[in-house]
Amino acid sequence: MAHNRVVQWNTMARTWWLFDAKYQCPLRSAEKICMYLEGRHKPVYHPLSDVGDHVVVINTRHVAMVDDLWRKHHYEHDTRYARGKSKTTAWKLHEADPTKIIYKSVFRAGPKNLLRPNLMRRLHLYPDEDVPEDILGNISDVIRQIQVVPKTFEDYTDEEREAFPKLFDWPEDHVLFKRKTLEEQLKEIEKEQLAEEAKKKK
Amino acid sequence: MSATMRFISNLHRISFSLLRMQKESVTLKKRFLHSTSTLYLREVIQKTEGNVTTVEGRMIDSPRKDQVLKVDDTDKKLCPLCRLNLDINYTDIMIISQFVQEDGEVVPRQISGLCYPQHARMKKLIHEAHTAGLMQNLRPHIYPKEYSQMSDHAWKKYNVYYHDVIDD
Repeated sequence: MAHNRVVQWNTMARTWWLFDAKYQCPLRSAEKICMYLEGRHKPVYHPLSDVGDHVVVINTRHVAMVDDLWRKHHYEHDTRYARGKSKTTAWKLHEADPTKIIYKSVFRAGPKNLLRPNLMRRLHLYPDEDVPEDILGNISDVIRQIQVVPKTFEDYTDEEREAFPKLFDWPEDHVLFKRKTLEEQLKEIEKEQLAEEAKKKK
Repeated sequence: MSATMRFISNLHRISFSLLRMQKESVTLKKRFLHSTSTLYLREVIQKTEGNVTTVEGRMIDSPRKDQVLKVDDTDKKLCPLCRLNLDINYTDIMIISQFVQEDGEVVPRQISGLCYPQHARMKKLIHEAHTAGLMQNLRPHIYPKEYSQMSDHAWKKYNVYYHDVIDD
């Protein structure tokens, strides 16, 4: 009897979800986030009953866009006054406010009615992993990332790189190039700068 | 024939004869004997001690002798990538980094042995891997400020992915 009461509380509770937006596409992740904000992941969902959850998005600064879109995509804004229309490129907007791109994509993915502002109030965006403690304390579950974060060259160890089979061998009479370390390069640059200053003094 | 045409044809004749003379002199030089073997993998080491700089060309065994993939070659002699029949993405860095030299440049086709379409595909994949920030250590050297090969536009700070590949 008491168990059923607790089960009912659990279904009607408003859970807090965490989503890491590092290397994720903002548009595709917004569709997933919207599902949790509306409550479409619950069997008790109805558009008019307020069953949506909170979602905390971290690392919004490290969101990834396709190919050239940072440079080519424009976000439009209209102040509804005279000469109020303006366009900004995606990277400029991201520089000014690193949470704005995800905010706009979630807004676009949400239901196009008067319930949408209520949803946006339950979305919490943070550019890095600095989240206030009272919000961190509420979080109880995690939304899975949509895109696989690719492994960089530095993530592999030296042994793994050497053990990997090679596709071709260097031909005879080939000269191997040895890359100088960063320290050596910086020393050379310092020497050149000192030589330039000495010349100027003369 | 006009005067200009005659002038141009004479120019060509002279330049070709000059080239032929140069080639002959080069072949003459090549007939000298060598004390060490010419066909050997080597690395160049430069040392400075005080006033003296020594540039040494040291002969070495290839570091990847035992690691080259062996495939049963049929009658057709295919290039190293065609014979493996792989579907390579820009995220397969272990394969892509083999076609990038230590100084940050793409391995020439004559050395890697790839066919032309595979070489073109590899150049595109290398560009995509660089823009996605997956090969930070294999970028070109720091050039002097006057002619930097790497642009530092503000939008290059932000992460990039390519469409076809990443879908969970």
